Formats: sequence, C-alpha cells, structure tokens
Amino acid sequence: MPETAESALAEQFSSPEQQKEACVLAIWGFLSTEVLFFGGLFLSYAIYRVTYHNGFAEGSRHLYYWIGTINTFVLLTSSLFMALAVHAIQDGDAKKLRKFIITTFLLGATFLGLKLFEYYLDTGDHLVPWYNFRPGDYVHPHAVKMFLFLYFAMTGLHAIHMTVGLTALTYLYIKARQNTFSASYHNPVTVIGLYWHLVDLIWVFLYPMLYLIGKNPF
Amino acid sequence: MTSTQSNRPSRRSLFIIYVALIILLVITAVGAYLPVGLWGHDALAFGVAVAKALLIVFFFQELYYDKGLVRLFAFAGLTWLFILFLLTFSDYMTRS
Repeated sequence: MPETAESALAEQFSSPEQQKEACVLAIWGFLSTEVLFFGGLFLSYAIYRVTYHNGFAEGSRHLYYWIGTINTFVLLTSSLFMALAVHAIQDGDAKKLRKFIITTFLLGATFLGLKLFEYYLDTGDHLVPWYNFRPGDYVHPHAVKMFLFLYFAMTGLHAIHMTVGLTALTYLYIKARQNTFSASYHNPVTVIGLYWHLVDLIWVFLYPMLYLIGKNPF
Repeated sequence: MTSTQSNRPSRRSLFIIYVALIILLVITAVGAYLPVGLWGHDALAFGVAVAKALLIVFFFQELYYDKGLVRLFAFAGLTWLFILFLLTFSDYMTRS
C-alpha cells in the first residue's frame, strides 16, 4: 500500500503540508550552495575569458560542438520527463511515475555516455592538459591549456552531479516500485526532481561558455 | 482532483515550456555562427541561457507557484554569486 501523508509524517512536523514546505525549503537551500559551488568555477572562467579572449575562443574550437549540442537537447528532454514524473504522482498515477523516472534515467545515462565518449575523443585529440597536451599545436598555448583545465573541471564536476542524480533516480524507482508514493505523499520525488533540474540548469550555462565561444567569425 | 492542481503548471504548459526551451537551444546553437560581433555574440548566448534558466526555474521547478520564502532561498545563492562577481571584477577591471 502507498504511504499516506499522515503515515510518512515525521514527528517534528505538525502537518504533511508543513513537512512538504520544510523539504522544499531545505532542497532550495542546498541548491543555493550548489550555485556557489559551481560559482567559483564560473568566476575563474569569467576572469580568464576576459583576460585571454582569443585563447579561449581557440580552445573552444577544438571541442566537439555537435556532442555538446546533442547533450543539451538530451538533458532538456530529461528535465521535461522529470517534471512530468512529479506531475504524474501529484495526480496519484504511480504507473506513469515509474515510466517517467525510467525515461529520465535513460536520458541522463545517454548524456553521461556521450560525455564519456567525448572525453575519449578529447584524449585522442591531445586535449588533456595534465596528460597529453601539445603546446606546439596552438597560437595561444597557455590560454588554451587554461581553457581546457576549466573545461574538464566544470564538465567533470557536472558529470559527478549527473551520477549522483542517476543514483537518486534509481532510489526513487525502487521506492516507486514498492508503492511508496501517492498523491498525498511524494516529497522525495519533488526534492530529487528539483535537484535534477538544477543539474540541467548548470549545463544550460556550460554549453555556450564551452562550446559556442569560438564559432563567431569576428 | 487534488489540492495541488491549482498551484502547479498544467501538463500542457510543461510541453509548451519544453518546446520553448528547444527553440531557444536552436537559436543559441545557430546564433553562435552569426557575425554579430564579440559583444553581440556573448549577449545572445548569455541572454538565451538566462531565458532558458528562468523557464526551468519558474515552471519545471515550479518556483512561480512557490511561496516568498522558498523564492528567497532559491535566489540567495545567486545574490552571493553576484557579490562575488561584482567585487572580483571591480578589482580586475580597475587594474592599470
């Protein structure tokens, strides 16, 4: 039997509504710290981009634009399905919830698979700064190296977040199969959904910063 | 009917938001090749990213339907990030 909001109510809360509010507020508090976590990298990027504009554009041209674009599409689509999953369980439709969780998971896994394939191609192109970078191949070798450091740090941190997200989705699916969630109790779905969207949100900014800056023929 | 239905986006609007996001993705992916100059290019890319972010935050994450306190928490991180950028760049941009 699905848990009701009352049976899932922790003792410190006076009502299911209060518990839900606390959950949503807490995850937003956490997501704010995530914004700051990535914020340091965004700031480093901004400083070096302003300082070494041409070098960053040169570095960006060596990345796989088509993989970045497809991955943005994949991640935006996964966000739609996550939103649909939350929507379905708000209506009490546990079957649709499971279906949408699986779809979100598969899209997230596709993103990570493509990202790993891209790292493989990057390695073949001698783009890994601490491993096989060739300074002689570039007009601005130091700036390109800095760009590539930031590329791996930012996409790597993002990929770790994706992995955490996929683990959380697995947990949700197991719980959903045990019929834990219902229209009156689905706080974990809401909370993990909010986290998933944030990971998508960060990619929305990474995509133009990393893949698009060298395309403009100015 | 559940009590949550009046304070969340409809299924239909989720799909509309998704289509808008994909259109914005096409704009930014194609726009990167347009000869609009350095600042034009950055403004386009950043503007589209912000537009996408707002759609995700307000509708996929349902912030549009949340209370003021939740919105405050959601934008707290951005506020501190803004201060971080402001102070850092006020240093870097004024170095001779």
